[in-house]
Amino acid sequence: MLPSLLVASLSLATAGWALHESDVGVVDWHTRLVGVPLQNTFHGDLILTATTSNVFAALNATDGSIAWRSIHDDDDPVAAFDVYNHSNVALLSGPGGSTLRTYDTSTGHLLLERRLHNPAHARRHEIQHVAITTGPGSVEGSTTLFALTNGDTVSRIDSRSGEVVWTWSSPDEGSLVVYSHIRTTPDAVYAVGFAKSKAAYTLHVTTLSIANGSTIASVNIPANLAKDRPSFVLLEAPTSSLAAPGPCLTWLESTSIRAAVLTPGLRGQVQILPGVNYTRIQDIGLAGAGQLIAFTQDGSAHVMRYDGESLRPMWEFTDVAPSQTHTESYFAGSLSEDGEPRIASVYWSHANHKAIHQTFTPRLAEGKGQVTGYTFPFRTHEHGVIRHVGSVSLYLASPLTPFTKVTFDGRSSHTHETTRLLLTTSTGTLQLWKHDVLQWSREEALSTIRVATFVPLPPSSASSSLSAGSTVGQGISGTVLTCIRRFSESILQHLRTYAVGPIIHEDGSTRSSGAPSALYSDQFGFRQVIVAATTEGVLYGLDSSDGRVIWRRLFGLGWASDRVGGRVLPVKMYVLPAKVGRVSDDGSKEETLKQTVVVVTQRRAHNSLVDTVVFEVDPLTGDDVPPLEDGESDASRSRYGPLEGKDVIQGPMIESFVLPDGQGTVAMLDEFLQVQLYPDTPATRASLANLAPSLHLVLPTRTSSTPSPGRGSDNDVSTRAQLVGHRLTFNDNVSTVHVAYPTWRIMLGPGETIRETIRNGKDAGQELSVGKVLGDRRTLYKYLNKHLRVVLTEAKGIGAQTGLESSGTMCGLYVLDSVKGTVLYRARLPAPEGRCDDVRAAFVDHWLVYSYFEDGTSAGGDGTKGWRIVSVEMYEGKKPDDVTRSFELSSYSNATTDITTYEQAYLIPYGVTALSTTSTRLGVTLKNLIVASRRRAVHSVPRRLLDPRRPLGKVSPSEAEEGLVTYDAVLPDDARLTLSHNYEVANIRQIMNAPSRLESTSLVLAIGLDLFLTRVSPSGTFDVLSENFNKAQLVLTIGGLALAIGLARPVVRRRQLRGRWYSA
Amino acid sequence: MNAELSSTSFAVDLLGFVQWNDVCPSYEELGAATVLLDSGGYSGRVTRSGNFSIPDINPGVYVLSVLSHDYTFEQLRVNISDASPKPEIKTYVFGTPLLSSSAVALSYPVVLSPRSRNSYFKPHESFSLLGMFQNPMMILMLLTAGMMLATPYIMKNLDPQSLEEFKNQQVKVASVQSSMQDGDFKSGLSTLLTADEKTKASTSGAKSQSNNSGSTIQQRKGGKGGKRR
Repeated sequence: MLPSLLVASLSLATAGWALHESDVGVVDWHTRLVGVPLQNTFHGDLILTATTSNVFAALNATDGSIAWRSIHDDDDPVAAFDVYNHSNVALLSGPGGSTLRTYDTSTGHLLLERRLHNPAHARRHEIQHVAITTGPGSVEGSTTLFALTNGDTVSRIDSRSGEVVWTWSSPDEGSLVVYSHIRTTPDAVYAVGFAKSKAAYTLHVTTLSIANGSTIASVNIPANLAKDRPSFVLLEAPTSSLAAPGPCLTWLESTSIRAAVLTPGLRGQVQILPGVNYTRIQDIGLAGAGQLIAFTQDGSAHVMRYDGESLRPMWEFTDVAPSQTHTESYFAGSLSEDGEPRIASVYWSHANHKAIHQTFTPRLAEGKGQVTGYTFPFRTHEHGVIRHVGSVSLYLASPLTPFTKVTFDGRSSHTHETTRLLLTTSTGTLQLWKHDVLQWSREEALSTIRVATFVPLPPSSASSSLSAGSTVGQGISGTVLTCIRRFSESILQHLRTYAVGPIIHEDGSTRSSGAPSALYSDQFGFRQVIVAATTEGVLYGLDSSDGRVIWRRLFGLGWASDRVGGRVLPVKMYVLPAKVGRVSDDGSKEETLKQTVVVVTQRRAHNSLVDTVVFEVDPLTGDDVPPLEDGESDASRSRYGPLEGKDVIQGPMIESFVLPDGQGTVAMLDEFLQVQLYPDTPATRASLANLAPSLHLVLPTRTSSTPSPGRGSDNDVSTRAQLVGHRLTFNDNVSTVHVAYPTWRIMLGPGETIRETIRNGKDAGQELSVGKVLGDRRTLYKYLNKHLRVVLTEAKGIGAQTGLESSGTMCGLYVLDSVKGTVLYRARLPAPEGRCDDVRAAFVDHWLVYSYFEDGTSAGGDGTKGWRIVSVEMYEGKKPDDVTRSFELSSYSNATTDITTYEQAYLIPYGVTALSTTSTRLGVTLKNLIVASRRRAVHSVPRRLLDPRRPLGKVSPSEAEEGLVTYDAVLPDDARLTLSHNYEVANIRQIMNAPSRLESTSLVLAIGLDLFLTRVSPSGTFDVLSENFNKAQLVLTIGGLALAIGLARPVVRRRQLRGRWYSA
Repeated sequence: MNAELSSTSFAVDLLGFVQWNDVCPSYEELGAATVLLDSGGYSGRVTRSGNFSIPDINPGVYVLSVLSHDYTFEQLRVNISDASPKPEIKTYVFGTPLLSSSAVALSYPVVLSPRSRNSYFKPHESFSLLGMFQNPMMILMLLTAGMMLATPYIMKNLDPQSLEEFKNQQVKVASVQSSMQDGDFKSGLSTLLTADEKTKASTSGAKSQSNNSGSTIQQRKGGKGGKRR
């Protein structure tokens, strides 16, 4: 009873800093995202989209907000969807389309979930092999769905009950024919796919009876489709035609378009369209209306229409191929309100620097059509990727291809003013244009943030006198003097505000960001810039007070932008002191505040070459920071062009770190273990030479050396992963740069691979307390070794050795000293379902926390199943009061291994997707654990509950004095400890934190599909006015006292007077 | 292939539904929720009707839990064996051994009832004059003030003997209080007390001069009140 009471009281105490409902959106913000769209469809006022983040979502077309979203697991990718009954959408997801789900399009309610096949038995094909379509007509409100799964199975499903009426499987089980499309007519289901032949693909069509799924006919159509990109378009006959013919299968063979009108019996002729040489055909979303776009060799595009009998060109768009004056045209089709198809064409004009939109409206009755156009001011510098396609020597202008996808809503009337155009740009931005006005824009690239960092803002000039310069590094007298000065200043200031204005609470100033141009910190440093690099090739600067995008820059592709193209994948990001503006000789404070952000990236060109490119940017404005060596400002460099990086390594990078010289030099190791520097100057080289003896690296490698003859049979050894410690050396006979050489090796188990290496998350701030005073006045000294690394591993196929009957996968966790390779702590963790993704760890100072799923297989059969968090603390020596001064101890001393670890495991009711600890400016405040859970929430776990020295029995007085509570295996699941409260913060991959200027408060940013930022005060907000501070109460009390004095004074006077008179 | 087939032949679908109750009356309130077995290898989403199904489960003992953003559910133990086609559902208390014998068998299909809705926020403390005076500190302060004013009169009216008694009692109470504050029960009460007493007496003596009778009591009371505040 007592422990639970204690825990209850503790949780009550911790809930002291739970949020008020009114603080929602004031102290925190939340950006809901859906991911970079792959496929968009207008559905009334909704946009249905399937994204790369495995989300199926409906966006409101009017304001771009998310109407609803359905987030899928990684092993459940969205494969195909189709709207039916005007109000429902059917979705196939999973490997081979294993699961069918239907949703209400307006609310997102899940109506039905049905497994069509076991995902483990799914077949993989290179080409599309999942499709869903609806059957003709509906019976009593229930629509018939036809799903093509695995490329070889067609199922007829009742949409209301989810009952599978019949299933047809291809007799060859997908080995010869892979079906990719299905269409229905009132009497038959047409499944069309590719049949593999020696050199190319041919087409295969099978018709099935709607009623019972029996095969009516199965025909191979001799076609010669290129193997690399086989495609065909299945056009439906327009509904206006009377005969209701079957769909028209259209494909391109060498340069001519061929079409075959399909009938249930599959008897007919292949038509060949003569005369014009075509290069490509494209389905623009009008297949239902029997239209497609065919591109000709001479650079124009034809709108082809199937009228029920044959396929004919209907209209010609000229000059759609990319040229010097404009980019390639993108086409999108849509149906207008009266059901007439309309086709939009969008391209970027270099001459006008504007995007041009053309709409083609066919006038079928007259056999003609008309094209109308307008321009709209698309900002390609912010949203598009530059790709040089023209011949470089002749043309200086670089053509742009800013869009990757255009979705067009022609439903609105015939005037331009209401035409809606949805653009998906190459940077993952989703934009809706209504005529030439941008209605809204969604920065979906933010869901792909790979690395990010906080950059504190400079204080505004008004408050700089208050906050500039920290007290660290000054003498005591100086500190006292500044304190007195600040105190008097603030007293004066507060008196002024106190008399007239309302009290400025902790959260008051964050929202008052009136002018967006002036980027200044608020009083408490809550406003910072979050620089975030995404895999979509955009670098963002976000305002940490509200999540707004301050600036965005595109990563330039360097040489790869010329013809090749590629992607820039950010790997690391560092905040470094600026190398410019060092001229200010008096303002030393100003100089330290000036910072730049260096992003280390890997550029993967489309020709598979990988380079390491470094970008440097001003975090406040997003401007380029010119590298030190070329001081003259490059005229071509403008803040509006893409960010140009510097190629540092002609190849991939295996490790990077910042030289601890305070100059902000980034060192990178290439594949040959050579150290490349950024910036690479004689000064930085000299600095590296000085620091080289103190640098120790841990690199994962695979032994490639041939095994010695003695154990040549042991094939495992040659492929075993190793952890190899490295140091740096310089030999000018061999190389012009420093080279890393191995110092120690740890051979991992067979099949064990390294998943992740975690550095000690200790921030630059110094550790104030090196020990922990116990209740009996003895001290436990923290083991503070800055060379510690945590290595997470995954060992596959070790079941035979450890006697585990299950999947045979184990996860490993090692804490090791990177100087000597000593393993100080190790743990073997179970891997449910053979995966180690669930093992997460955070390491700061002497405290290691990790989480995993205990599947009950290890250590006894009755073990509970569930999520665990293990808290490990490392202290010096064997017992309290043992001191080895680990902080400054040489790593070669034997005493570094003289440690005691305390650990305890706790049960938590939720799966963990990311772990982190809070950090504050000086490190005085307790460090809470921040946990992102599978509940799509971010929780805070009080440090006191994670103390691994919690006594198992009754708390002794000395332990109570220390604040220890009795160990309880279950961590309290208090909703008030949920930082994200009502927000659904989905798929968090990473939690970052940054100290604010208040010691008590730390900023916590969760990055994943969504972004979420809040403030955490693990020890309470001890350095700001308490929120239950009551001005009215104070005023009333003082007033009351004054009144009492006023009343009592005459009485006392009278009494004193009387006392004097009558004392004798 | 053979093994695969045999395993699929044993695989069982787990069916169940969410029982709407006062805590969570409808699907709109619940939002998207997923029912998981163990770490999520097997899962099924709750549909609008409240039903869920988890297909193709291999034999084994699993913990069933519900991933819901705003509601908490009990965890259940699901036992699927190749012997019986019907899954065996038992209660499971989070944090206890999985194969506990005290588990109660439940009916199948699984019935899940939302236990509570998460309340993330704490209410604002509102200010009221009455509330201010209901604060125990405030009451204590007022009482102390009242006593300070009243003691001289009470002392005057007391006879010397009971006054002596009262003094002794007061000393005892003070000693207990001071030791409580120091948090040290072990060390000798009396020695500590006397030392404490002396220092207090000396400071108070130095500071003020007033009538002899009630001086110590008054001073201590005053000091206490100040400390508390």
